[in-house]
Amino acid sequence: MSTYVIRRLVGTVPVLFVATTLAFLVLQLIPGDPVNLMLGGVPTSLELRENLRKKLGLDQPLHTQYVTFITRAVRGDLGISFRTRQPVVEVIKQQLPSTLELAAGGMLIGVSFGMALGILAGIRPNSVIDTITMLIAIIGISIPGYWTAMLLIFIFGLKLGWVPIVGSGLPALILPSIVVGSFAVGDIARLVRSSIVEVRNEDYIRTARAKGLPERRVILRHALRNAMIPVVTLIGLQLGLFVGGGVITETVFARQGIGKLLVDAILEKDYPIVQAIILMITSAYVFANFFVDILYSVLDPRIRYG
Amino acid sequence: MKRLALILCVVMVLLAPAGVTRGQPAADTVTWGEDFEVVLLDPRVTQSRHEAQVIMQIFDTLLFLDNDGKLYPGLAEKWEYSKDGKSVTFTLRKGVKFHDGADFNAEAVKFTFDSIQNPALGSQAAIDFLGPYESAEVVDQHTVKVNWKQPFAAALTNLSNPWLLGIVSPTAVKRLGDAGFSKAPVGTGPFKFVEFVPRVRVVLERNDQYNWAPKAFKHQGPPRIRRLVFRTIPDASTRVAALERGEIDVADAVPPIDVRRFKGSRDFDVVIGDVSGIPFSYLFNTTKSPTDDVRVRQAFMYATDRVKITEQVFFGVAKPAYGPITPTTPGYWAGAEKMYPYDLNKARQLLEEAGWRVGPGGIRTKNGVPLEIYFPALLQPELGIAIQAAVKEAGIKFDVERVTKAKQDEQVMNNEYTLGAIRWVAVDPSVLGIPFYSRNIPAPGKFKFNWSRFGSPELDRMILTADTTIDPTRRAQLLAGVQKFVLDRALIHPIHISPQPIGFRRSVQGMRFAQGFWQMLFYEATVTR
Repeated sequence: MSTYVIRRLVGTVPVLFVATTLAFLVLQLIPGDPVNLMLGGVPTSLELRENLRKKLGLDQPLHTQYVTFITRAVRGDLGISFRTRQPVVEVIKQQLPSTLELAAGGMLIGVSFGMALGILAGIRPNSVIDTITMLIAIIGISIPGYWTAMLLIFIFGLKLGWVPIVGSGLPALILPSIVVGSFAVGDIARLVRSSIVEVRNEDYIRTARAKGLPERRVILRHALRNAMIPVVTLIGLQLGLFVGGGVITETVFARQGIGKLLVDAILEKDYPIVQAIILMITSAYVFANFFVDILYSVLDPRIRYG
Repeated sequence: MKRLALILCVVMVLLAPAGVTRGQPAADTVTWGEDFEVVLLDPRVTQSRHEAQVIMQIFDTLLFLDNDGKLYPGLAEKWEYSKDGKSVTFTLRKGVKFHDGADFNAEAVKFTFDSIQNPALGSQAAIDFLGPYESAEVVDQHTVKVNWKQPFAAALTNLSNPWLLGIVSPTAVKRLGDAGFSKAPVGTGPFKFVEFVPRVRVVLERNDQYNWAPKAFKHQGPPRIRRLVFRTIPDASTRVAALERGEIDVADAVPPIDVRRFKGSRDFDVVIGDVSGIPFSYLFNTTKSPTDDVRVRQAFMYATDRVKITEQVFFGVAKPAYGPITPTTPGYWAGAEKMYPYDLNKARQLLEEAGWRVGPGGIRTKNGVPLEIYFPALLQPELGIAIQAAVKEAGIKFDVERVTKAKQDEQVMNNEYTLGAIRWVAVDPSVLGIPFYSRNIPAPGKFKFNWSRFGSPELDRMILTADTTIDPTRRAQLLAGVQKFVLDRALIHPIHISPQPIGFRRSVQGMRFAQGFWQMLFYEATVTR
């Protein structure tokens, strides 16, 4: 097991390297000069622009910029944001807690409701309950987050006044979590349902029933545990999505966060920020998958790593 | 299974009351909802009108320019132009202190202006507002003489700019460094900086020492409210919802549809600022066919019913514009209003004269080429669509393509457009130089704003003369000449005055538009709960 863990950890390095290199190159393809974008419409002398370019290191050839970026990144120095002129690490540190909060909230909603709906539908396939829960799941997947957010703000924020709209603290986390979690609810519910439908006719379920176990125990201990493998994979992928994909939720609820930071940085060609966030999101995916792999062996002891 | 459902229900019921407290802001606090994040709070560095909203509460300027165009003493009690128009001597107010306790004096003025010139600071706009700045001489502790390389007509209005040329505390800048100062600014203004949470809020507090307010204000002494909070809320619907729920007291950039609703409401109201400077306008590329022909440009203008279009697109919130600067800008030439009224027949006639004949689909062609005008639309694409329909009546095909700022900038620099849209918030008519000086014609690697790419020594000379003439009456005549010149040649198609609709709770009173009619000053604001 420990050799496996170490091997997987070492394996993440090339993935991260390739991802950052791609990010670096793709950024160069987007039209727009960061210096112009920084100065916006302000009429400034050419000299001032050149000065700024030099200050940002943009006068260097591309490969030199790349080497500088990588050597610094390895040392944990991700550079200075063009726009805020703060160290990138600091900028991200400010935004990260809010993103993690939202990811946790979305995860909580996604997993709890997703599993509950999936189980309800899965134990009685093709029943009325099944149809209703799957309808809810599809709504969760298909309604755009922007619209869900506006609707929730209107009903629960403005009309009922139950939760703050742009406040802070736990109450302000409820609506954004629902928006972020609603995608996951649908995805997870559908997967749990089909997994349960699949395992409920397995021999070991019949055996469990034949032993006279109560139905709840059959479902939770025997059916659900075996149905969990694909679900855990999905949750792992969703986690990566939560970290980088909250841009709409963050905008509508006026929250801090990595998602909006990334989109703003791309639009303004704030290279250091974009590179750092891509590095971070890639890491989030890589490590989420890494933990999922570890979880497999916990859920299904037959899976062995050598 | 039932138990799980039960647990979920309990959790939801427990969570609900946690949020039941209605948004109840503290008395004495006003919270402003801003549509864009603020990053740098240093007047010397910023170029953002959103940052301006915060900055101008913290800093004072040498002079105060009111909305009626009158200049009042600010940090300077008196000022005097030298005979050659190249210097102004300011007698400074005594007893003024920065928020960090340091004395305000001639050294601070010199430090502020000199540091703006330092390339390491990276000034984005203040440096241009200082104009052909040469030096500042400390005559004595309370007298400073500012010198320019040439006569500078915009000197006084520019020095009154509350968000670019506010005087900074030299001790604070030295202590915090430039980067640190932009996150914790120190000025002499009515509000002191308290807290900055990036992308979320900036908190300011009343400066209890403040007793040097310009006489343009009826109120004197410290501000009436204790705290002023700027909350970033990028989404317009969220901002309006937060205002209605009482989580904020004031919201900027209220959508036109909500303006109508608030206007008649009991608890809320809206004031609309007619932003001064260059109105929202199209600039025709005079180096590209078909807009290289003045008749095509004029036809486009005659074919646009500005009254109807602004009414339709903005629900009456915006007013149509006719001149290259707005009526709220000093030096406005009213003659512009009589030029290019809506006249579809005139438009058709001009196009006929220019050799464009109606072809298939109603679009005119000449030598087989359709009459096509390409507009990379970064600003107000929806207005572009309305104009597209209008000019089609005259047989013009108007291509409106939505682009990002980066794309637009590339196209502008590489001359890949036939029409571009600009607007410019400004207080001084010298703003006319930005789109009309020939040195501002964009080129690869050089992003500038003369998008009509009309280079004329004659026009350059006219603008320069206006910019260097100190006498206001004479200057107004020269400026009228510039405005007529660019309209005669149909270089610019002014469309509407930029509206700044500010929605607010009626319990907040005493806000006042700063010069330029975009930002609000909170010095005199009061709040009743």
